[in-house]
Amino acid sequence: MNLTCERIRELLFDHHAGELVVEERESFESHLTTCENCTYFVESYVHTVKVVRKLPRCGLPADAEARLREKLKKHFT
Amino acid sequence: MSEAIAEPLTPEIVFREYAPRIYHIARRMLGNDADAEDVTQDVLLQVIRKLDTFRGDAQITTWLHRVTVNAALAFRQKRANRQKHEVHETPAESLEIAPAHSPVKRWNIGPEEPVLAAEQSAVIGKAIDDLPDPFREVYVLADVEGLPNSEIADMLGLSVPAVKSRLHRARLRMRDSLAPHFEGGIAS
Repeated sequence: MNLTCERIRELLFDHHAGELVVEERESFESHLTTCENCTYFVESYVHTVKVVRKLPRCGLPADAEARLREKLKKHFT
Repeated sequence: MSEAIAEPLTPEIVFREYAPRIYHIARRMLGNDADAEDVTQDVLLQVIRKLDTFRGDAQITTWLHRVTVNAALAFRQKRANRQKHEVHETPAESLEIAPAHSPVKRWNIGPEEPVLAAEQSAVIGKAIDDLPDPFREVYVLADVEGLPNSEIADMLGLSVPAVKSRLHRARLRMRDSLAPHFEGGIAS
């Protein structure tokens, strides 16, 4: 089964999740051996998922904390 | 967040333990500080009013996640109503993505670092903020919070295939948004 570059992008989510059936996965990976553009695209998609998982938490800003404490004051006493 | 709270829950403990967590989820889902603060206030009040009903950290954590997501969604809906934007909202399945035939440059992906540089975090945070609401909600819950697709579907009232479709499109948009930065060399 020959896949187009467009089809590679459609299947990318399931490939990344390990949910492609064997035949589709083999066709997907076979396409990558001959298409540099898709290889780079897949690498960057995978890196996007990986790097976002390292995003630190949004800290509660000190001024927001002070305002929240003030608004909730009666519940703290 | 601590694994267990030995002392009885009080409003002060709730604030200290959970306000940052609530704010983080709301901030990522809503994309701005002021709205996140309003939602944090709303959720904290809900928690404090129900303090007597919680028996442990695991129970309150699960409940909080859901309440925060619901409060953020309700807040966004109210804001849309105020601005009369109900029909102006980005169609859920529409998100501009670079076409498949566009040339792709290889990213400058260096050795993996456990922590992101401040510049990288800012670029990624901005790209998330720029996602249209229906995509950002799914994206944050899946790729930032790490929730399973079935749980997200349940929270947002979507089918699992709809969650997967939005998540995939959001990832593609995120990739496009981050590409100029990673091609140029802020990668770790």
